[in-house]
Amino acid sequence: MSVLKTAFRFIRFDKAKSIGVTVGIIISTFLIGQQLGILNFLTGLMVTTANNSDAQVWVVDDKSKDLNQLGRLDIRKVNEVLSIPGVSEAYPLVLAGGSATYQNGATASLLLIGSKGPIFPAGPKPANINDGNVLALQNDMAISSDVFDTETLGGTTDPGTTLEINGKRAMITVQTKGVRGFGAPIAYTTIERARYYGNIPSTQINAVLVNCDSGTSVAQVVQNINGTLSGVRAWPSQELKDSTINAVLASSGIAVSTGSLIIFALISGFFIIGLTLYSSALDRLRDYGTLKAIGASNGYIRKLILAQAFLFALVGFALAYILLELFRNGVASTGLVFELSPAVLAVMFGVIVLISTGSSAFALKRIKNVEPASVFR
Amino acid sequence: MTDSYIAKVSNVSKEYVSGDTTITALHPTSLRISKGELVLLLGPSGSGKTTLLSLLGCVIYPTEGGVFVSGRSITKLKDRELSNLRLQEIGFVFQSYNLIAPLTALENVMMPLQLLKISKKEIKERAIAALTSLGMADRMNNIPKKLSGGQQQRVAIARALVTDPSLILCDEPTASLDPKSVTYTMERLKALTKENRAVVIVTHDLRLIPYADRIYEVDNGHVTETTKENATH
Repeated sequence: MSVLKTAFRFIRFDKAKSIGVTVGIIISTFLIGQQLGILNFLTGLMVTTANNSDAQVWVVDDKSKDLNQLGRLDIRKVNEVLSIPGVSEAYPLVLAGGSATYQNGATASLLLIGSKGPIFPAGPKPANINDGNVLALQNDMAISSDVFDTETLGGTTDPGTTLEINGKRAMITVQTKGVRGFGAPIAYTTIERARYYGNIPSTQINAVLVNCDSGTSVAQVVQNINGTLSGVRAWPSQELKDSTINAVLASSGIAVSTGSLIIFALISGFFIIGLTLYSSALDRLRDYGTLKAIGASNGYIRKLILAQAFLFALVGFALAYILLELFRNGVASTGLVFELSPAVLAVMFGVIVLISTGSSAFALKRIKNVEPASVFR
Repeated sequence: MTDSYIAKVSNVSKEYVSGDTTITALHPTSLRISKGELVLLLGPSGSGKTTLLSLLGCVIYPTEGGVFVSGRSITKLKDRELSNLRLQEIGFVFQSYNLIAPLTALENVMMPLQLLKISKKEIKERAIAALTSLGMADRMNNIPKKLSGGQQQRVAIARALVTDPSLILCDEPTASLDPKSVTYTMERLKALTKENRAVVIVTHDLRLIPYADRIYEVDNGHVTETTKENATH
C-alpha cells in the first residue's frame, strides 16, 4: 500500500475535516483564479486597439508608451515610414474621442478608431463581427458598435441604429462582439470619418501601422525606423501592448487592488487549510504515535502528511477549476470575457500545492513531537 | 554478542523531570529476556512497569544504565536507527489495540511490512497469512470500528507478528477481553515462545500467571523477580 493510498484513507476517514480543508482550497483557488481572470479581462481592454489589428509594428510619437495616450503625428510620417527598408505596408491610424447621443436621449463617450477602408488595418477583425460586413463601414455615416456595450449605448447597437457623435449624424452599420475599450466603448470607422466626428485636422494622425517584408524581421524594421526617423518610436506590437499594460497598471491601482486580493486569498487559504490539517492531525495523534512505535520514521510520517496535503490540493484545485469555468462561462455572456491559459493554471496549481503543503507545517511540527512511548499511556 | 538473551536491561533507571520536580519511574534495575520465554511484569498502576516495557520496546531512552536488544545498545542509536530496530526486532500489542483507525484490518497488518519496503506481493501474502492464522480471514477488509474487541486484538497480534520479530511486547493485552478471548489470546502468545521468540506482558491480570515462565513484580519503580505462588498471593 503506497503512502498516497494510506493518505487517501486518512482523508476519507475524517470526512468533516477533509471537507473543511477542501473548501478552504476551493475558496482560495477560486478567488485567485477569479482575480487573475478579471485582471486578464482588464489588461485585454487596455490593449484592445492593438489586439484588433494585425500590424506587426506600431510607429507612434516618441513620448508615448501607452496605447490609450497616443500623441499626434504629422501625416507625412506615413510616407517616411514607407521609405524605410523592410517596410511593405504602412497605414495611418486616427483615434478620436466623441460624445454620442442616442435616439432615446442616452449619451455616452466613444473612442473612434479610424483606419483605411476597405482594408481597415486597425480592425475590426472578421472574427469579431457579430452582425454586418466590414465593408459596410465605408458607407456614409458608418460606424461600428459592440453588442456588449448595448446597455451603455442607448439600448441598441443593431445595424441601422442612428445616433449623433459630437452633434453629427452617424449610423451603426456593423455590430462587433467582444471589442471593448478601456474607459469608453469603441467604434470603428474610416479614417476620414474619424477625423470628421472628432474634429481632427487632416494633417494629423495618431500612429502608423506597419507590416514588414516577408524576408525582414520585425526587430530589424523597428531598428531601421528608430535609427532613421526623428520624433517617432517604432514598437513591435507585443512590446507596445506590454508597455501599455505596465503603464496603466502602474498608474491606475489595478495591480495593487488585484495583488492585495490575491495575497489575502493566499493568506486566508494558508491558515484555513493549515489549521484544519492541524486539527485533523490532533484527532489522529494516537494513530501517528502508533505508526512511530511500530517503526515508522519521522520521514515516513512527513511523507504521509505531505501526501494528504497534496491530495487535498489536487482535489480542491480540480473542483475550483470547475467552478471557475462555470463562472467564466456565466460572465462571458455579459461581455466579461477572460482566459486562464494553461501556463497560468499550472502556476495556480503550483501555488495551491505550495500553500497546502506549506500550511501542513503546523501539523508536521505537532506530529514530529509525538513520542512513540505515548501509545503506552 | 547477543548471548542467549533477546533483550537485556543493565542497571537501568528512568527519571522524568517536570519543572523543579524529578520523578523516578524506575530505580536501577537489571533483567534479561531470553528466547522462548513468556515474562510477566506485574504491578499496580503507576508502579513503573510500563516504563520498563517502553525501555525494552526502545521507545524511550534510559536516564542511566544500558538497554540491549538483539545485542545492540539503544543508547548508541539515533532516532531513525531506533525506528528500524523496533520495526525489525519488536512486535507491539497495545492495551487498546491501537489499530490505525482509517485502515482496514488487512492494511493495518500490511503497514509494518510496507515500512520494511518489501515487494507488494509479499506484503499482501504475508499479511493475509498472519490474519488467516488468527482466524480473521473473513474480516480483513473491515476497518477497526467494525470489529469487536477480541477481533481487534487478533488484528493487533497479527500486526505484531507479521514482521517475524524476536521480541513481542504486550501492554495489558487482556484488559478489554472476555474470558474466552483471554484464553485464546494467551494460548496464541504462549505458542509464540515455542518459535524461539520472547514475549513480555505487562498486566495486573492474575489470570495470566499460569502462562508465565518468569514473573517480575514492579512496585514504586523497584523490580523484583517472584514465583507464581508468591505472585498469586
